[in-house]
Amino acid sequence: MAIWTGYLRPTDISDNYLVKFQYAKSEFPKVWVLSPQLRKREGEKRIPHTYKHDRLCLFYPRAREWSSDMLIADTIIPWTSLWLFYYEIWYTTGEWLGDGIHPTKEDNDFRDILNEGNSNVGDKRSRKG
Amino acid sequence: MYATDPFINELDDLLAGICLKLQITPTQHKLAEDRYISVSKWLSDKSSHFYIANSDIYPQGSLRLGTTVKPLVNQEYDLDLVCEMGLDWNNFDPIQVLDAVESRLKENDSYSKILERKNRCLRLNYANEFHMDVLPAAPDTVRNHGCIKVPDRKAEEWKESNPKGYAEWFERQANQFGEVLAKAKVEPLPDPEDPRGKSTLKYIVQLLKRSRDVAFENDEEVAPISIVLTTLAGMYYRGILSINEAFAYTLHSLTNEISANDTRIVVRNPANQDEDLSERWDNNHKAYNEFVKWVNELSDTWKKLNIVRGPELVKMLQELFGEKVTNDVIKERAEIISRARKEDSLGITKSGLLTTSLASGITQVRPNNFYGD
Repeated sequence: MAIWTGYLRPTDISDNYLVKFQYAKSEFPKVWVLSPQLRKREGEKRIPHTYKHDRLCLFYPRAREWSSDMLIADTIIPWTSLWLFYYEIWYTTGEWLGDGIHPTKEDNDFRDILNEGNSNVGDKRSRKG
Repeated sequence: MYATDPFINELDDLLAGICLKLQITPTQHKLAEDRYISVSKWLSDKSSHFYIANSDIYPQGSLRLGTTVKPLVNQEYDLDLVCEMGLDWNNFDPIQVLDAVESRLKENDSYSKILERKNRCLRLNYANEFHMDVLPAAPDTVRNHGCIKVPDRKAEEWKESNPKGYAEWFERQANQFGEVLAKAKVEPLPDPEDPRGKSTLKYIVQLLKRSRDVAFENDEEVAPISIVLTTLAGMYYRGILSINEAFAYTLHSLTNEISANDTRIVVRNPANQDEDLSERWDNNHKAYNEFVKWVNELSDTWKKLNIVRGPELVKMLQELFGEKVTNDVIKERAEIISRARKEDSLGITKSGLLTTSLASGITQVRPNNFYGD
C-alpha cells in the first residue's frame, strides 16, 4: 500500500490543503484532507460528495472513470483540486456547483463495499482490504 | 494582470466583480439617459412659458463619475441632474425658482404622478429603478469655471456648488498617472482584454461607499456621506493599479491623517476650497467618531483579509460588502470553471491550480462525476 501527502491549492485565493492519498493494489485510491480540516456548514450534517470520515468521493466507480492503469497524477490529483474548488464555494455559498451523481439504493450497497476498502466491483463476497 | 502576486490579481478580479455587480447596468444607464433627455427636453421646450434661454442640463455625482452603488435598502439608484438655467440668480428668489421648475414638471402628467419636493431639488421617483433628482441652478458669473448657484429651500438662499469642476478634478485624480501607465504597457504588458476598463480610483470609491452602506445599515443618520468618501478617495489616490493595494493604501493614508489631527479632519471641495464638504461633523461629533471608528476597523480588516485564504477570505468579503453580491461573483467564477470542465478544456498546473487554458505543461482534467450524497 502506498500513502503519500501533498499540498493542493485549487486557486490563488484558496486555502493550501494538505491532502493524504492512499492507494493499494486492487483498491480504489482514497483521499482525505488533513489540513485545514474540512468543515460542515452551520446546521448541515455533512459535506457533499464525501464518504465516511470525510473521505472525498471523486469519481463514479460504476462508470469506470478511474481504472488502475491510470496515473494518480492525471486523475485523482486534478479531481481532488476540483473537489476542493467546489468545496470552498459550497462552504461559503451553500451551493455545490460541481454536479455529481447521487447514489441509488443499489449504489449504496456498492458503497458499503467501497467503505470497507474493496474495489472488487459488484462482488460482495470478495476479500476485505 | 495588475500585480505580480497571483493572489492579488485574483482578489482584484473578485473586487472588480463586486463593483460591477453593484453599479448601474448598461440597460439601466440607457434608461436613465433616455429619461434625463426627456426631462431636459420638457424643461427646455421653447413653446412653454417656462422657457429660459441657454439652459444646460447635465448629470452630477456618481452617475457622472462612474461610481454608482446600488443602495442596500430600497435598491433604487440615486441619480442627480443639474438643470442650469440661463438666468441671473441675483434677480430671483431661490424658492421661486424651485417652484417654477416644480410647476413646469407638474404640467406633464407622467412627471406629476412621481414628483416629490425636496430641499434643493425636485425628485422624480421611477419605482424600482432609480429616483432622479432635478437640481435647478444658475451660473455663477463671478466665479465661472463651472461654478453655479443652487437654491436652498430651508435656508431660503442661493448656495454655491460646482459639479462640473468637481467631476473634472475627480477625472484628473483618476487618470493622473496615465503617462506611467502608457510606459508600463511596453513591458510587461497589462492584460489587453482588461474587463475593468475604468480607473482603479472609481472602484475604490465604490468599495468605500458599499462598505459604508453595510456598516451603517442600522445607523444611517451618522454614516459618512458619499461626497466626503469620494473626495477622500480622490485625494489619496496615487495611481496604484491594483484595487486591493490601492484600497489598502487609501485606508492607510486616511487612518494616518485622522490620527495626526487632534480635531476633526476637514474635507474641502476640490473645486471650491471655501466649501467644507464635511461641515456636518462640526455639530455632530458622534458622526465623526463613528466615521473614525469605521475607517480604523476597515483598515485592520483589510490587513487581515490579505493574510487569510479560502472560505475565510470570502466570509470577510461577505461581511464587508454583502453576502448576496459576493456569492454572485463567486458563483460566476465557478461557472467559468464548470463550463471549461464540460467542454473538456479545464486544465491543472503542476502545482495543482485549476486553469481554463491548456497550454504546454498543463494537464487536462479528465471527465469525472463526484459521487455520494
